[in-house]
Amino acid sequence: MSSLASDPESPVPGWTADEARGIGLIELSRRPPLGAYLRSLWARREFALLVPLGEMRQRNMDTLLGGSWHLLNPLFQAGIYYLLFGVLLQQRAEVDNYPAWLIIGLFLFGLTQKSVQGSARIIITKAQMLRSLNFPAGILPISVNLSEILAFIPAVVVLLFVVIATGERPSLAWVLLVPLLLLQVVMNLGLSLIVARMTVHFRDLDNLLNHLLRMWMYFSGVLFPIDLAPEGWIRELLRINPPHTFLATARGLLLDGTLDVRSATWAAGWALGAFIIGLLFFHRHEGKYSNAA
Amino acid sequence: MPPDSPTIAPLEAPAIVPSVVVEDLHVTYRVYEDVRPTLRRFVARGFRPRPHVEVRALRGVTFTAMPGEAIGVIGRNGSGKSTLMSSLAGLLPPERGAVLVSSQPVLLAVGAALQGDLSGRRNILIGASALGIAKADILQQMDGIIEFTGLRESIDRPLRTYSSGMAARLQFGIASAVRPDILLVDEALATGDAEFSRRSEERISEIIASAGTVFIVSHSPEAIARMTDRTLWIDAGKILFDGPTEAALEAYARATGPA
Repeated sequence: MSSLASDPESPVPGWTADEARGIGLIELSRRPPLGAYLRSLWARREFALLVPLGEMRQRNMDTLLGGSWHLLNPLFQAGIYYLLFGVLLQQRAEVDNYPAWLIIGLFLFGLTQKSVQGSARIIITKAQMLRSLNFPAGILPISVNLSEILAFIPAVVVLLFVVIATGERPSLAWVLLVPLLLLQVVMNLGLSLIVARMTVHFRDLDNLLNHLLRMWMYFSGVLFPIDLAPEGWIRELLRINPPHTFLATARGLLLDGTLDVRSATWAAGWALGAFIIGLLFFHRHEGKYSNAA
Repeated sequence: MPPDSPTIAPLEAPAIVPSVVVEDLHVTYRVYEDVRPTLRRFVARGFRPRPHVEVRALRGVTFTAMPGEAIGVIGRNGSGKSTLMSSLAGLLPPERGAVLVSSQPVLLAVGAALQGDLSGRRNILIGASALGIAKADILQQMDGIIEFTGLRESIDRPLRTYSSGMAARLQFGIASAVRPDILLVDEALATGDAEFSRRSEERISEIIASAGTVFIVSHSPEAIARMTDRTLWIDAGKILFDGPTEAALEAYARATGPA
C-alpha cells in the first residue's frame, strides 16, 4: 500500500486511485460507455415516467376540470380550426377534406414541436435536481417526451373522431398509424437529445428554437400542401423534409387508406438517424450536465 | 495492495478494502458575473462568451475512507465542504484527480431540489426512484419511511408547505429507503428537532455498524465529536488536518478562536 497519496497524519493507510481501480472501485461522474449508459437509462425508466406524471398532476391540480383538460385542450384546438377552415372559409380546392387534413398535420407536428421545445431547457430547469440526485441526465429529455406522449393520447382520440366525423371511413390501414407514431417518437427523442445538450452550451437556442420550429412548420406542409411550391428540387426537398414525411404517411393512411411507401421509408430513416445522432451527441457530454446553470 | 499482486490464497481472510478513495481532487466552478447580457456587450467582446470567474472550490484533496468509518468534515463557510460532498456523490465532475467509491453514495443536503408542489409522499417516490430503487420496493417500504420521518400528518401536503426541518426529515426518509453503504450528510441534521436528531443518529450508527461509511458535515463540534472518530478539516479547498476527531476539533478551535 503506497502512502504517498495520503496525508502523513491520516489515520488510515492511503490508497492511490490506480490501486482503487485495481480492486474494482467505481469512478463516479465519469462518462459510462454507451452500453452501460443505455442500461442505466433503462434502470431509471420508472423515474422517467414519475417526473412527468407528477408534473401533469401539478399542472391541473388547482383547476376545476382537472385532468379532463388533457382531452379538452385538443378538442378546443380542433374545434377552432374546424370553425375557421371548415365553416367560415371555403374549403380549399387542392385538398379533399381540408379540416381533417389540417388537424392531422397540426397534431402530429405539434407532438414533435412540443417534445423538442420542452427538451430545450430541461437540463437547465432541472439543474438543481441533477446536483442533488445522481442519475443520468438523459432521463430528463426522455421524461419530456414521455410527458408529451401521454398528452398526445387523448389528442389521437380527438383526431380519429374528427377524421370520422368529416366523412372518412375507418380502414385497416389505420392500424399502421401506431408504428408510424412510434417512429415519430423515436425521431422526437433524437432531436430532443440534440437540443437538450446544445442549449447547455448555447442558452439562446431556447428562444431561437421557438421561431425555428414555427418556420419548420410552414415548410412541412402542415397548413398548405407542399404541391403549392414550384415544381422541381425545392418541392422535392420539402417532400423529404422530416415532419412532412410523417404527415404525408399519416394523411395517406387516414384519408386514403393507403400506405405512402416512399414517405414512410424516409420517415423511418429520419427517425433512426435522428435517434442515433442524438444519443451519441448527448452521451458525449454525460457526467458534466450538473455543471449547467 | 498493488493491483497486479498474485491472487489471494482461498482460505485467507478477505483484505479490508477502502470504500472511498479520493486522489488529488480539484473542482472548479465557473461563475458568471452579474452583468446584464446585451447584444452591444456581445458584439463589443467580439462574439466571445460572457465574462466569468473560475472559483477553485477544491484544490487537491486526497484521502482514503474505510468501511465502518464515520468521518466528520469541518471548516469555515466557503471552504469547500459541500463541494467535497457533492463530488463524493458523483454530482460534480472533477477538473483533475479522481473519486472512487465502492458503491453509489447518497447525499443528504439542505435545500436539495425536490418538487415543491408535490406531496411528501410523491417526493419520496420520485426521489427514491431517481436513485434507482424500483417503484414496487418503494411502495412496499412507504409506511416504514413515513413512520421514520414522523411526518404522517403532513405527508400528503405539498412539500412547499414544509418547514426546513420537515424537509430534512423527508430527505432522510428517502435516503433510508435506499439503504446506502456510503451516506453523506451535509448539515441536514442541524434543522431537525432533538427527537429527530436522535433517530437519525441511530440510523447513522446502524449504517456504520453494518460496515458502511458516513461523512458528516457540521458546524456543531458536539455533533461531530459525538458521531465521528475521524475528522477532515478543510480550508480553502485543501485538507488542513486529517486525523482523530478530538485533535481536529482542538486544532480547529485554536485556529478560529473561541466560539
